[in-house]
Amino acid sequence: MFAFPTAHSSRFHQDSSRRRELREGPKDRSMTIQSISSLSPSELARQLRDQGLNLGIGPFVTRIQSTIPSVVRGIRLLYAGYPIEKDSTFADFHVHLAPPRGLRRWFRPQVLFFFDGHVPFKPLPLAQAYPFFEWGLNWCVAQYANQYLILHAAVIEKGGHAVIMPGPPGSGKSTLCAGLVAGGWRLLSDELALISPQDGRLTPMPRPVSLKNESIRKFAPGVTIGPESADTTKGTVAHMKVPDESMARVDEHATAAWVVYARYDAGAPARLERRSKAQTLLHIVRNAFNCSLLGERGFQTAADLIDTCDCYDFTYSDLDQAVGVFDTLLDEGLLPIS
Amino acid sequence: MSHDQGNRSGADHAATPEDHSPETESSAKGRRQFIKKAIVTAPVILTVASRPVWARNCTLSGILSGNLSDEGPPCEACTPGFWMKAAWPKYSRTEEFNSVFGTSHWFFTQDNCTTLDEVIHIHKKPPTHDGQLENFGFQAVGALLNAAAASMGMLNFGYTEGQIIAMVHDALSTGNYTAVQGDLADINTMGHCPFPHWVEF
Amino acid sequence: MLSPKPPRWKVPSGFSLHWQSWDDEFVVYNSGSGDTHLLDVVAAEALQSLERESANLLELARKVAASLEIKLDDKLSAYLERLVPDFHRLGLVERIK
Repeated sequence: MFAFPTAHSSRFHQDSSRRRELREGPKDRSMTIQSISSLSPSELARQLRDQGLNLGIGPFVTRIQSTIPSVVRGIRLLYAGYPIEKDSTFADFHVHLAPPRGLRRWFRPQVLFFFDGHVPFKPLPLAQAYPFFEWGLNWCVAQYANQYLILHAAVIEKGGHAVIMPGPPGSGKSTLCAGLVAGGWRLLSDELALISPQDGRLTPMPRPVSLKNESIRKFAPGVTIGPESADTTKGTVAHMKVPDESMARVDEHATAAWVVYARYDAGAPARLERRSKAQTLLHIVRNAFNCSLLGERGFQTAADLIDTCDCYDFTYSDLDQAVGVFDTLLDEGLLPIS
Repeated sequence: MSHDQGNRSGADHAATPEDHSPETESSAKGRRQFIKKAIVTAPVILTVASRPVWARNCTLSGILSGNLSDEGPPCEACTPGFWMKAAWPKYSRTEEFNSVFGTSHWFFTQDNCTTLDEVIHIHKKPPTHDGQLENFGFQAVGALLNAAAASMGMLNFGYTEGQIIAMVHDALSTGNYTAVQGDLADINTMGHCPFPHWVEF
Repeated sequence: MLSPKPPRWKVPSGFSLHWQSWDDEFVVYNSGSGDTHLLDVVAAEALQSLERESANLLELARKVAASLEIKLDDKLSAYLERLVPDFHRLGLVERIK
């Protein structure tokens, strides 16, 4: 029987706070923590097949199990630098990707996403297993990480200033995010902004950046792109590996300075315009995953965030030009109102 | 970038409109003109209604994500056709459409089409030149009644009255009722109607 | 024959309204309903007035006109005549006896 989200989330909220307290203070990851890349391919495959692998992703530990080759390959390539949590008893999320039993294991094969033993989604074609993993993990965090105000937004940072870019898939924010990251901005997240109600700061949860269709080809050889999956509802999807510099700073929280609504518009010159803070606050309240759930606290967190940020609409077509505008915003602090 | 420090303390001291920092003569005048402009038209209040957590899946975005399993309590909704005949929860048939939704759309102030009952029976009247608007009104009243039944705990419907009222109000204010009409029709057919036609609320 | 007393309105005392404003746009969160609203400066002044104390439409018009330093004219009255029922529908104010 599917348990209602509220029951889940309150249990989860207590558990993950406790887990974070139990972890040691300053993170000295270099000395004691093993990363995915330290496992041989066969050892990695074995652990994913058997007891599962406890992967540290930002503030969360995710136990992942799968025997599906594309998932194993994707994790080996795109999560190479991520730490493996030694303590195997705690995980914030248990995720398992597996073929269904019966006919669909072999005939027009499918893959199921299990979360904490439940099946929240219908199966997808096996060829889409890796994007299903990424998308499903986003869903898990968005549903259950209610110790944060969660926005559907990309978050990047440079020079101590973070930019939150709200927008659903298809709005162009992921491509812009990938371009900025390739251009030296630190990645906190390409899908989910995690805002602490206590201090309004952003918690990084860097994960591979999803790219679609033409965008996949755009990036310089300097970035690692994972395997492509065709025929998803979004077209062809691939993921860009998080740069080492972003990974190294995964425990470093950030303060938001700008909220930018980015929209790709073919042929349009890059244009940045201020937008109404009140309208932005309303949009955030409407589109956050859990503003309602958090009640007054959710509203106040969103209001404080908008109060301290400059809010803009941004249209672009040329990615290099767009990155240039962001760097100018950083250098000049404030864009002159034209 | 101006912001009100007074707001940080929450409900204790709300920044009031006249609390703003001392203004020059010309900015005070500009402000008065702004205020005068505000009252020339009918008030517009944009609303984001809170979402009932338990009905999270029974919404357009939940269904359109196309990937929700069949687990959990089934979504429920009754069509406007059902509500034409059934007893109504909370609302009286003689309430004015424009009063309930806070709108003043010309169509619904025309003769013999101003109450909720008249609007839900719009198809029985001589056709107007705006079929989309007729359908919009028809679906709007149906959705409102679904939300009212949900608020009484009698229907697993994914929207509150506040949300439906806001959606209808915004659609008519902006003139975007054609698109929203389709949404409301989808919302009203999002599930099985559990009531017999003779239900009492 | 007595004419009926005009209705009086007030924000229910159990509710707390949380305000955030920039320039002349006001956002208010109603903890009673969980809803969030965007109001212009006149609507915000009217709602804050009804938060402090109850009023009928005429009293409210006088207070709003005085606070915002504008004329109490037909436009303002007409505006408030639509605004207050909107507030009522949205669960922001109640009628009191």
